[in-house]
Amino acid sequence: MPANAASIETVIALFAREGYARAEPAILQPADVFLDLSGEDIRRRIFMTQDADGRDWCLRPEYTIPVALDHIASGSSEPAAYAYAGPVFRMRAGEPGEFAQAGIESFGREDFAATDAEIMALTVEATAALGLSVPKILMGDVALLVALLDGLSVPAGARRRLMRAVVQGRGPQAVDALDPPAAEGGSAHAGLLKALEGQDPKAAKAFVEDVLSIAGISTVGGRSAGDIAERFLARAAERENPVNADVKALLAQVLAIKGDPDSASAALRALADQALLDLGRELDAFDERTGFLAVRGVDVGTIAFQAAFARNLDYYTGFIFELHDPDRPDLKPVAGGGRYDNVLGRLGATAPIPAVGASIWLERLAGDAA
Amino acid sequence: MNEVPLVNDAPLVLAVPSKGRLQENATAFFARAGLKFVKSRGERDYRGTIAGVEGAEVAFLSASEIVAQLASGAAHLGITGEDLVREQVADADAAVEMLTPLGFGHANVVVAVPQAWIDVRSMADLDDVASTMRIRQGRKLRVATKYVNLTRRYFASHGLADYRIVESLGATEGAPAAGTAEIVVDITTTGATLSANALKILDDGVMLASEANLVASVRAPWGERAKEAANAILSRIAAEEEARSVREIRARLDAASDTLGDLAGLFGARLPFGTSVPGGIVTIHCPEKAVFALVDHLAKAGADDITVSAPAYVFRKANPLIERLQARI
Repeated sequence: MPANAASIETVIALFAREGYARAEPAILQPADVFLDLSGEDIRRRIFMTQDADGRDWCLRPEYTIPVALDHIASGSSEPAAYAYAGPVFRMRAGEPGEFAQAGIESFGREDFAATDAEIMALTVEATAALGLSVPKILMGDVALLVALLDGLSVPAGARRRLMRAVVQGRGPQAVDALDPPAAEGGSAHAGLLKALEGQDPKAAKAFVEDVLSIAGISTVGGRSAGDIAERFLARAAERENPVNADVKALLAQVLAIKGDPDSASAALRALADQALLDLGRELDAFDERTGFLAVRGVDVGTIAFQAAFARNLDYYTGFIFELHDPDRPDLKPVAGGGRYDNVLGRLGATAPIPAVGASIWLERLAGDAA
Repeated sequence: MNEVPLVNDAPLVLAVPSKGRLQENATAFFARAGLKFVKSRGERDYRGTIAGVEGAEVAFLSASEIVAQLASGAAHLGITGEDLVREQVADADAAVEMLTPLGFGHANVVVAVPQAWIDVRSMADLDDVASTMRIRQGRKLRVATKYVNLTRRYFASHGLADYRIVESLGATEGAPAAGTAEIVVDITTTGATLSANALKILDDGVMLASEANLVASVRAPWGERAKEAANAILSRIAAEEEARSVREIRARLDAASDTLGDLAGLFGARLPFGTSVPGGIVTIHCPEKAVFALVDHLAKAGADDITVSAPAYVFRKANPLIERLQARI
C-alpha cells in the first residue's frame, strides 16, 4: 500500500507540527470495551479471538479506544494530544478487512471551544493535504439538544425515544416519538396502572410485592420490586401528562434548523427567547467555537450545521462533524469526529477527562498525497 | 489439473443427524420415501449409503456440523433445523436453499424474561427496561444465549441496543436464576422448561419458528453424478409428499366424466389419467380434506363403487423440490 504509506507520513508530519505526538497502541485489544461502548452490533464486524484463559480479544477496529486506554494506563493527569495512523480491522462485505485510518485525540483540555475548533480545523487541513481541497462539512451539537430538553423538563422516557429518533435521521418528525408508544399490552396492564395511580413510590412498591407474592413469584432477577413499581408509576405519569403540543412544536422547529453556524445560532436564540428558555451559556460556547474555527482558517460560511445531526449517543456528548468528498458517489464520510467527554470515564479513568477527536478514512481519499 | 473431470464423478453427500430424536425422525422420513440408509460397517459407522441409489453417500454428523458442511459445500444435502442454519451461516439465503420443511423438530427460538417482570410484555418494554438499567445501574442488560447472531439481528430490528450477550452453551434457561444474565434467548418446544425456571416468553418474543428442513448447499460441487443422485432422492421424497397429501378416488360413472363439472375449481381435484366415457371408470386425485365432499358430489351424479385409497407414491414430471434445487445450482 505505497499510497497509504505516503498518506500516513503526510498526516503524521502535519499533526506533529501542531503538537500531536504519534501514539502506537497495540493491534490486539481487549474485545470487551468495544462491545460495551459500541454495542453488540459491532460483534459481527470485529475480528475476535480468545486467549488460553477464555478472554476475548480483537484486532483494533479503530484507534480512539486503544489510544484512550493507553492514556489512562499512563496515569497522566495532564492534557495530552495524540496523533495516529495505521491499519485497523473490520469485516466488511466486499471490501478488505484491513484498511488504514489516521486521526487525532485531545484529552483533558478545559477550553472546549478552542479544542473543538482545533480538531475540526486540523482534520480539514489533513484531508486538504491528501487532495480534498473543498470538503462538504456537516456539523451538529448534541449538547444543545440536551440543554434544550433539560430546559423543557421532558421526562426521561420521552427524551430517550426522541433522541433515538433523531439519531435514526427522522429530523423534525422525531418529535412524534415523544408520545408514549401505543398501548402495547395496555389492556393487561390497565388494571395495574389504575391501582397504582396517584400512589407514592413506597405504596406502589408494596403493591407490586403483593402482586408478585400472590402470583407465587419469588425470584425477581436483576430488578427489584421497587424498580418495577417505579416503571409502572413513570408510565402512568407519562400517560396522564404527555409532552404538550407547545413543547413538541418548539422541538420540531429546533430540529428543522439548518444552515451555517452563525445563522443557526441566531435562529436558536430567537426560538429560545420565544419559549422563555435560557440557552445563553450553550449558545455563547457555540458562537465562541465558530469564532475559533474562523480564526483557524475554516470557511465557516460553508459549514452545514443541522440541529438534527446526531450519531452514536453512547459515545458523542456534544459537538460532532463529518467531512464529505462531494465527488464521492456513495454518501460515506471521508473523516468524522466530535466530543466524547464520558468515554474515558467509562474506560476506567478515575477523574473525568474531557475528550475530543477525529478520524480520517485514508482509503476514501483517492487523491495521492505526493 | 487432472482432478477436474473427477468433480463430475464425485458422489452426492447427504448429511443426516447422527443421534437422538432428530436421527430417528430423519431415518423414518427417508424410509417413508423408500430411501433406506445402509451402514455397511455396522451401527457405529459414520458413513453409509442409500440402498438402491447410485452415487450417494450418507454422512452421519452432529447438528452443527451438518450446517457447517452445507455452508462450506462439503455436503450437498442435509437435514437440520432452520434455527441452526440462520444462526451459524452469515448469509444463509446465499449459501443454502431450504428445499422443504419436514414436519418434525418443531421448536421456537424465543426471548424470555423473568416472570417477576410483570411490567414487561413486549420488546418495546424490554428496550425501555434495558435503557433504564444502563442509565441507572451503569451496566447493560445481559442476555444468555447460544443464538448470538439471531439475537443480534432480532434485537437490532427492534431498535434494542443496550444489552450484552453472555454466550451459553447449555442450560441457558438457568442463567437468570444463577445470576449470570437477566434474560435468555433460547429454543423451546412447549415453554415448560422456561416456566419451570420462572421465565416467560414476550408477546412478540418469538424470533424464529423452526423445524427440521431438507436443505441444499449452493456451494457444493454439483457434478453430474451428484445431480443424478439428488434427482433420484428428491423425486422419491416429492412422490411420497405428494402421495401423502392426496387420495385416489375411483368410481363407476354412467355419464361421461365431463358432466361432473369443474372438479379442479370445486375440490382442487384432477383427473390424472384423463376423462372417462359413459359407463367407464373415472380416477380422481383429490386433496385429503376434500375427499368426502367429492364423494357426495360423485354419489349425486349417480356414481357407484366409489373407492377411496391412499397411494404410496405419486411420481409427477413437475417436481417442486428438483425445480427449486436446479434454480440455485
